[in-house]
Amino acid sequence: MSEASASARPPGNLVNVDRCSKWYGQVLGISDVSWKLAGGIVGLLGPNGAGKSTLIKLIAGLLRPSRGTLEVFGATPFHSPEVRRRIGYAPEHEKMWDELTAHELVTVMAELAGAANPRTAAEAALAQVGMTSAMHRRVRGFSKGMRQRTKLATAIAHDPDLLLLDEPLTGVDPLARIEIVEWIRALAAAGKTVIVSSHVLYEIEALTSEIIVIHRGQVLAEGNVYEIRKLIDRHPHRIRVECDRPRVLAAALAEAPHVSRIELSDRGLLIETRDPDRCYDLLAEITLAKELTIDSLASPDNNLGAVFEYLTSERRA
Amino acid sequence: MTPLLELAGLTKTYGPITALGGVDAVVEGKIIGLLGPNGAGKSTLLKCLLGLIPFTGEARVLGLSARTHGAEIRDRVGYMPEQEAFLSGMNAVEQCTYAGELSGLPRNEAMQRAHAALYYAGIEEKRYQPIDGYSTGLKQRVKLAQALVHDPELLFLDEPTNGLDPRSRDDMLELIRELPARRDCAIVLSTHLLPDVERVCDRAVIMHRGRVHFVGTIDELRADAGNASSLVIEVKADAARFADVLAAAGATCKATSPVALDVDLQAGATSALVFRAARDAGIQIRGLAPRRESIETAFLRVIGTAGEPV
Amino acid sequence: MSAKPTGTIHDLGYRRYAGTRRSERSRWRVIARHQIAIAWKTWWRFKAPLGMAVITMAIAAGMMMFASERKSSLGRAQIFAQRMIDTAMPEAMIWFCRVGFLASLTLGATVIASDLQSGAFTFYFARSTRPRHYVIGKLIGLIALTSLIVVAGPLVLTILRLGLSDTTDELIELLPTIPKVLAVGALATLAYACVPLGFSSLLPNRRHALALWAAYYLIFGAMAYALAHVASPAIGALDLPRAVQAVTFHLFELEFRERDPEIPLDAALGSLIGHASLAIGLVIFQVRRAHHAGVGGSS
Repeated sequence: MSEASASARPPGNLVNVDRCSKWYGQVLGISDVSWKLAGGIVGLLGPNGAGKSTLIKLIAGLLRPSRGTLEVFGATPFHSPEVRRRIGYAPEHEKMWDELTAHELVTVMAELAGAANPRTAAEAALAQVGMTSAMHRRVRGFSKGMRQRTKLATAIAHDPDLLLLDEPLTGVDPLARIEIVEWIRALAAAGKTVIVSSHVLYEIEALTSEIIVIHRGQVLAEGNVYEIRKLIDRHPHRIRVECDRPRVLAAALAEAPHVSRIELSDRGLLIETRDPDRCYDLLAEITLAKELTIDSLASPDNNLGAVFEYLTSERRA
Repeated sequence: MTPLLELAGLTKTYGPITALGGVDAVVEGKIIGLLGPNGAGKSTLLKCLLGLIPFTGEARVLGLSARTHGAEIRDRVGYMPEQEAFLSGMNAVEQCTYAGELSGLPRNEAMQRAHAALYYAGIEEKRYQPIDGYSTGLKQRVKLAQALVHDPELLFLDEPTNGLDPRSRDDMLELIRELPARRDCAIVLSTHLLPDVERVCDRAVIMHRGRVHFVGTIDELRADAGNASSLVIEVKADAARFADVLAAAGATCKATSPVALDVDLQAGATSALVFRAARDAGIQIRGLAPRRESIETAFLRVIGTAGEPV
Repeated sequence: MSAKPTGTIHDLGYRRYAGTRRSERSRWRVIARHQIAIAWKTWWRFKAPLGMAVITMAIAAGMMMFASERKSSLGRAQIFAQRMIDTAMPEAMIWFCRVGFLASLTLGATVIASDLQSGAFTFYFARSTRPRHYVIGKLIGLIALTSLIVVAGPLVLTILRLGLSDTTDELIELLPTIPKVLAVGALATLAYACVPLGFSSLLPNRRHALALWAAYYLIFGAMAYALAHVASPAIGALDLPRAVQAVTFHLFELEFRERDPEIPLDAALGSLIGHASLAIGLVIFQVRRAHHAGVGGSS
């Protein structure tokens, strides 16, 4: 799903974070974070207050690290107009100037960001997000979905190479959501790098399978979500099976040493196993040997939500 | 049993703009999802049902007419708004007690129920601290408690999982799901998050451009792909290769991701075919389920067109 | 032989409320009570101005008592002592007004703006509260609090004056001062409860509403009073504390100081009642306008 485009990407890492920490007085933002991003779409996940916004603002050049280094395009983004020109940032909270129209707002932001032709760039950006018909209306009267689109337009108007999107889909209705997801995918396919931060896991799932999980100010996990899931495979894994003869299946499974629990219900069973890899193979064997008909087979532990839950609830050092 | 909502020809215009254009619906059930794009008329509908704005046509909530008995409806309905709805400088207990009193409960009763509602919402000692310092998750819980304190028979929840991180979202959805059993009330859940609806609701009402396009159960909403031979299969790896293997066995397949594929078996074939093919090809099957239309697709189908931004 | 031991588990399940609900008409009482409870909670909202009013009253009472005791021993200066006893309350009135202004800063000037800002309108009107209950409740609450500052003190002083009468005839002659002080107090309450409430409904931002009220009262008032020195004295009625003072002086038949403009009674009355009516009208208008806006969300 995350076919990151391999076209024209700058050599080396786009974002290079090395042992970076950020404090606000007593309050910890992030702590000793090291991360490298080469490109594609990355989902930034984490509980509230974990440090996602801090990390994004550091990359956007709005904050300076308290310790360590953070480089984007090979240079520090803080107070660096050349670097920031190549970054488009759409923050979570929009304190937009309600009095302006969308067109005016995006034009001004494009000019501030150093676009060559602010007005044309603004119009192109607004057209991309589907706001052409509404662009001459004041922002004050906009619905949440339109505000999100306008925000995205300001982020891309100056044609940045790196996009930072903080909760871009909050409050957006289902129709608009599909359009915006498609649009983000198209941007990535065109060679831009996108970092998306969101709480709504199924939105991240729709966009990418590369994730980075921040917890308590540190990087808890990063990389391909399927690979991460496999790493978690080591721990008790639940499998739900609906079939025509559940007790036969249960009896056969009970003999396996890696099965630690079997719960029976009238429709099927819930298995808990210490070795999911073996268990799935065993299931297939039993199904064929006993000629069972499986109606459904699923694991509640197999999705991004479960991975996230496991990572953030486990008491690690 | 009185239906929760009965709407007949409900119309509301603001000058030349028609917010609701003749809504007809009879809504029953336990947890009902209210869906629709922006501008569909959901918030106008809510204001009419609570008796806050005038309208033409008929609207009955719990058997009471919204036109003449608005205040009584608001006493029996709990509303959890999307935006902030607090008074500054008070703690959660005071707010909920005040809320109960404003719905007609005597003070002691209101305070008892405020505490009970806060317990249900999962707020413990924090309830004695001023709300101004609460996190988003806690604020949402207090809003839920405020909606519950006056013993309502029906709740309107507007985007209850807004701004919550995944764990809190799960908690909130569980709280919502248990409400009908634990609090003997029905729920209308207005949200943009279709998976939430899938998880929690038994029925749905879909609105678009001021009209109701669908009222019914979630099952009725989803056009079943029909039969047990349309499947979604999840594998440990190599979905594309497995698709080829199954295709060779006579099924129609399409890999949708490195680990998932849609499969349509030939008439008469069962899932045993899939397992056999997997064993022979050395593929591990990790998931199998009848292919049902996703809520998202069903929603788009019901709406009919892609809307312009509103 | 002992009985068999037993144990019970109680069903702590949910019980519906089977009692009666208070009628809608009593909502304003809940709101008024709440207003007062909030004001009483912190030391600075109401207790501090109340303390200041008590101090004002104590000082004036002290002066009256002192003068009363020394009266007999002063010979020809008796007149001055008697004058002090007679005029203590009316002169103190403007000080009570000043304390009333301070109280209005913490009580009335931010009430509605604060509710608008924090989303309280959704809180109130998604329930069976109607706009009129809200307005009446807030008003009554504020009036109760304000009157403790601008009515209670002066009333006590007036009663003290009656107590300091030398003869019963004098006492009976002075009885009408009680309704007079109540009238003055009522007008002062109008000024310091209703008008700031009106300002708080003008702007949806707490601090701005507060600043606007303070600016109007202090700056505009000072300008009007200054203008009264050079132009018609009636303009001075626009300065609220001076209007109250004018009514007091007229009712208690005191003379204005030489350099002060003599604000006519009808101008003062008109200004106070006019301000209050305008403010209440504004509040009703703003609350009605906003009352269902907060319910229903953005989509």
